[in-house]
Amino acid sequence: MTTEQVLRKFAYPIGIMFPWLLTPIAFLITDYLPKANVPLLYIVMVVFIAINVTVELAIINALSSFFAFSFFFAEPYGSIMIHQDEDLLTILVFLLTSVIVGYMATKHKHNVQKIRMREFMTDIELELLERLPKAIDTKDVIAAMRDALKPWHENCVLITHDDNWATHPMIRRLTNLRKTYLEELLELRLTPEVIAKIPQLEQEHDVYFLYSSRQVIGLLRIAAENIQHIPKDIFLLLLHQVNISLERTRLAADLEKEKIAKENELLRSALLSSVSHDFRTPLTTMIGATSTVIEFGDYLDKQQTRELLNTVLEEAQRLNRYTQNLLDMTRLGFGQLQLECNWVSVEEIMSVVKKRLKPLLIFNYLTENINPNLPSLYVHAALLEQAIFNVIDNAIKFSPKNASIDIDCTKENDKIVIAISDQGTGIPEDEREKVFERFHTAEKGDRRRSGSGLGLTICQGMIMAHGGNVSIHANPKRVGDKTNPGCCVRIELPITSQPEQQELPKSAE
Amino acid sequence: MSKILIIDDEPQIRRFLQIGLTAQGYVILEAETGRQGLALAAEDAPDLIILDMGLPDLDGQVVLKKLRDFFHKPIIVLSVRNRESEIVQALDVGANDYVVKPFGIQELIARIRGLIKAFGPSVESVQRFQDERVLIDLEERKLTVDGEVAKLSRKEFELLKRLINNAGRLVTQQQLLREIWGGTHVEDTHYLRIFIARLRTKLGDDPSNPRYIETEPGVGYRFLPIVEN
Repeated sequence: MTTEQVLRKFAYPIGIMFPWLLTPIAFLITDYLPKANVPLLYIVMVVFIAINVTVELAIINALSSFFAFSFFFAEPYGSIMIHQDEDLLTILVFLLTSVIVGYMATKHKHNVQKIRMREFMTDIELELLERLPKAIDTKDVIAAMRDALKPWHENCVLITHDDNWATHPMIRRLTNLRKTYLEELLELRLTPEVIAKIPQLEQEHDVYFLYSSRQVIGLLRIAAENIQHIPKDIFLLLLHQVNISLERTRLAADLEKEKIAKENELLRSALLSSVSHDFRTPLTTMIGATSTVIEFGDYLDKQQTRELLNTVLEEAQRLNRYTQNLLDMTRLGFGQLQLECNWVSVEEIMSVVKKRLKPLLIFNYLTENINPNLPSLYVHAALLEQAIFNVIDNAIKFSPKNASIDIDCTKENDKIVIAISDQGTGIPEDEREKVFERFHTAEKGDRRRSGSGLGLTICQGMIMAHGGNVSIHANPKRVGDKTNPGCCVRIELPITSQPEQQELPKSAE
Repeated sequence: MSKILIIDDEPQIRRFLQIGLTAQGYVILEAETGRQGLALAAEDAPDLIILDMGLPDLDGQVVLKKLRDFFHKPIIVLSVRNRESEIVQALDVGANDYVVKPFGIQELIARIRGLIKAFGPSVESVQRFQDERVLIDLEERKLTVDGEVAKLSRKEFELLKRLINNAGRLVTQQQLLREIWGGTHVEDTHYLRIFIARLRTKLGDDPSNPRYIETEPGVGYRFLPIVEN
């Protein structure tokens, strides 16, 4: 047992005995300490006991002191009778003083406790008030409240849907609460009559409810014994704040849902118009060219026929790329992009990209500058190839004839950077974020160039799936040029630590 | 005259393949379903099979496995893009090469030619490869680049030998690892990458403009020039 527990248990015996220990000592040193000072010593004891135990024990202690004093200091010595009027007066004044001081001390103690409690509550409230506006959803609000109530965990309990309501000991002890109301509340069968009863229930049973859109989502129960110490007004204010926050978070969630629904709608119509245009255009060419060959094949020379058939092939390949883009886009959108990563070098990726770009590099050419000491990439090769392909495909569309498209691959800190620079019309600064949006094209309507507007979106999606980043910058080599400033697309990929850098075991040689 | 069996459920695809391949001098057999394909392969013993992985009655991998029970000539699979795992699995089960749909006829013809020759009646192991820069003599185990002799370690030589013996054709990572390093090292693709990088350096081959060794990421490697015997 701790000292405190010992003292508490034996408070009364100690309280009564102590004067009988203190007084003889005082008696023995009475030459240096006149007896009129002894009552002052008793007062100290009384105040101490009044503050730390109860005022009743303080009074008993005072009486015990009274008898001790009369035993040791008042004539006749050795008896608790008092003959001297002086002594009697001293001790009676002492008793009176004790009672007054004792009550004052206790009252003071209670006041201090109340003030401390108020301060404490205000601190909790301030903390809560700071956290509540930052809460994003119901869970945040409840968490904030739980944290705020932590210092109180002995006295109050917060029960929410996630806890097991019915079996919680606090609930079982709520025998006063009308069983039917309790069940209805807990099962959220909130009929108008029950809702009307809630304030009354709260008052009668010190049970407080947390609402969100007219649904009870939490129940706060304060242990009745400690209710007097809790400044109720502050507490109710706190609760009110929490309920307001719950309402706010729910409204925010509803608003978010509406926003998403609207976005999906916009996306769907953009998709429909894109498919309509981007499928029809190549198909028009294909149907036109092949029907021409079929109808007028006899009148066409071999070169014309070949030219038409080449066109059909090109348009069909364009359709193929577009279909692939759409598929990639859909997979990205549904989060179905599963990465199957392998170790590849940047050169190997570029080799495949260049092969696929061959039919498109008619009026332009690529220059390549790859740092030979780049570490290998741990990536899903086909996706990275598609991402780079899309960027260069875009660059070709906007580049003038005979312009080069420059590819630079370097290592910067812990990233590998693939920079693709072109000499095209460039992208103004305020549009550099927008170009990554789905279906964003440079020109609108029938006049727009052959692009679905998905290429960069897909590129960004695929790179980000690898933990990388894509950004658009000005072409540093063409800053002065106003007509064709071009732009530079930077693909950054994180470097994964690789087993290759480790020593090959001797057995592998 | 070589016989090619086409197992594909799309009539238009079979049609254009039939026209194109017949024009190249091949005899064409056609099957619409996996079961039909298996039957024809057993009865008519084609010299090469083109197998579409997306058949209506049986899964392409199943047909492939069943074919390999009795058919030991080359098989090319047709697959859709973004299904690398399917391609790698097919190669493991026994396919020799693959073409991704949609494809142009030239790509397919190149693969067919290389494979039929490799599995042809008069097949001898390749002994030499030579072009204006490089001379590889497999018998002497010598590599000469721009007139200078380069030394090859035993494993480097084994790797180069296998690639050249399958010149023009795909060799899977797993096959190379299994044959050169052993069955327990089938997952150690970084061994392979390091050795390929060494070979490339010795051959003076730029990986971003490969002339000799081409990588198919996640799948395997191809020695590019078709080597005539």
